[in-house]
Amino acid sequence: MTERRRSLATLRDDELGEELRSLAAWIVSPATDRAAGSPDPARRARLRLETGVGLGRTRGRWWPFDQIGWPAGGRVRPLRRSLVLALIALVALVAIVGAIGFGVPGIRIIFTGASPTPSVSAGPSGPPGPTANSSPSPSPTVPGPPGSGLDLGIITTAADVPGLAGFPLQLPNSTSVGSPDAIWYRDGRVSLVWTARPGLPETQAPGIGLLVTEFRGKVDEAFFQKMLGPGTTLTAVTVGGEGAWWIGGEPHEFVYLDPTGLMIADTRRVVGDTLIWTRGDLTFRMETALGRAAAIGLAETIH
Amino acid sequence: LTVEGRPLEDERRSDAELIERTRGGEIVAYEELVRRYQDVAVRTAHLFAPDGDAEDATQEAFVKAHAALGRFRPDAPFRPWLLRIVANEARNRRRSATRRVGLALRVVEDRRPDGAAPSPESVVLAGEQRSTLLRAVNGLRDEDREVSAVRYFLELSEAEAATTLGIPRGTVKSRLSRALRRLRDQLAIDEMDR
Repeated sequence: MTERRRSLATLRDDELGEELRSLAAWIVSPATDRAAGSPDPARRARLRLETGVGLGRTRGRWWPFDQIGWPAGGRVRPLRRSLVLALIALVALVAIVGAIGFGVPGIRIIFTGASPTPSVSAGPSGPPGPTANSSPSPSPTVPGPPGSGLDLGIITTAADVPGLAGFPLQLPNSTSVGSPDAIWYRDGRVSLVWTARPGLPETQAPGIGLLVTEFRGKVDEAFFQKMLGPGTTLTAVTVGGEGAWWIGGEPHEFVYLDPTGLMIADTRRVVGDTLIWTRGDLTFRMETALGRAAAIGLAETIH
Repeated sequence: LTVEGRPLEDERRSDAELIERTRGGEIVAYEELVRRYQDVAVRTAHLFAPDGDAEDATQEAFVKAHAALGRFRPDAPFRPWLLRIVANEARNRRRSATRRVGLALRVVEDRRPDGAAPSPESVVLAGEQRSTLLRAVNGLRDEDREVSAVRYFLELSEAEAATTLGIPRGTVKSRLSRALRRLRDQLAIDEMDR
């Protein structure tokens, strides 16, 4: 764009076109907003195609039945969309009935590429614009109960958990850990937060020593093997004699199918090495800097 | 080597190869294929729906394009075909007109994109002009803004613009001419108001 005052309204088509071409370089570009290390759209698409789940995702929720008559690349006609949505509702109803009847919610967990780290999550300076799928980042300056800024949902109490989540809260029976400093609830997930202290070293989230998340479901090893990003290691372990997984190294993303069959992307940033285990119809996810053996020992006290 | 997601001639063959391998079930090949056009795809999604999550729309479009790949003609250019799906996905995600957010300018305007340092006075004038022009673009009707965006912001050829927008080439021409006329009208109103 030329740098002298002139009337844009008097420009010829070709001149105005040139002004517009020059303007393009100044428009906020969403492509620069993605934090380093976060999976790009091509990678995310590949992961979804490889697993066959999460297809047809709508914001925050992945509808698993997208390929049923969803016209790629074209606008969805209202009648057709209605039919697809009706079909989805029917299948979801069957899934719920199945879950109730057989007690197997069929939850799966996918580990994708690395999530952004706090050092790169700030993004470039500039006006507010569309943001990438970067996970929320913790901040030591966020006021409120421990875990504020981790996108854990609403603060709650142990007494209120059964009413919110539909299952009783399970807590570690360990004097070295004690009661959680904060309990959060979001979308069927209960998160217990302990602040860092002697015996609970700080995780990658400033001030946080331990984070345990509980929700209905069970894990699927096939996804572990396929979806781990570079720099992330998966080790099969046992917790109380049951199969479990220890994920170390680079942060990973966390996606699972809820009991109704919807794929849920838990977009919050993973804060440390992670232990995943299942007991009954509940899945537990512990993020800690304790190390594998201590984490397993602590996990075995949770009932 | 690509320029704005546009492959060089020797890479066009590779597009065809990757498409063929994708059709044979190699999803890794598909990832490589769409990554070539990822940047321009995200920009397209952003230009068509500035208030949406452009990367999310792009990802969704990539998945839908994979499902539709069987209908892609091997002799056709892949980029505009893919961008059409991206554009449609972004359109479907647009908010209602009353809640819509327009394109925004970068805040840091003290340097030109080429890195040269202009005088403070010219910086202010140029910044004002950019704001005025973008405000006028944001005020255009959707189809006028879209045709302007693909031709001038993405610098697609007329044929690529036609495929991306899903309209004949002649319509691209006439719509662009109309868009520029309306843009000038809007600019004139804006200048009178100042």
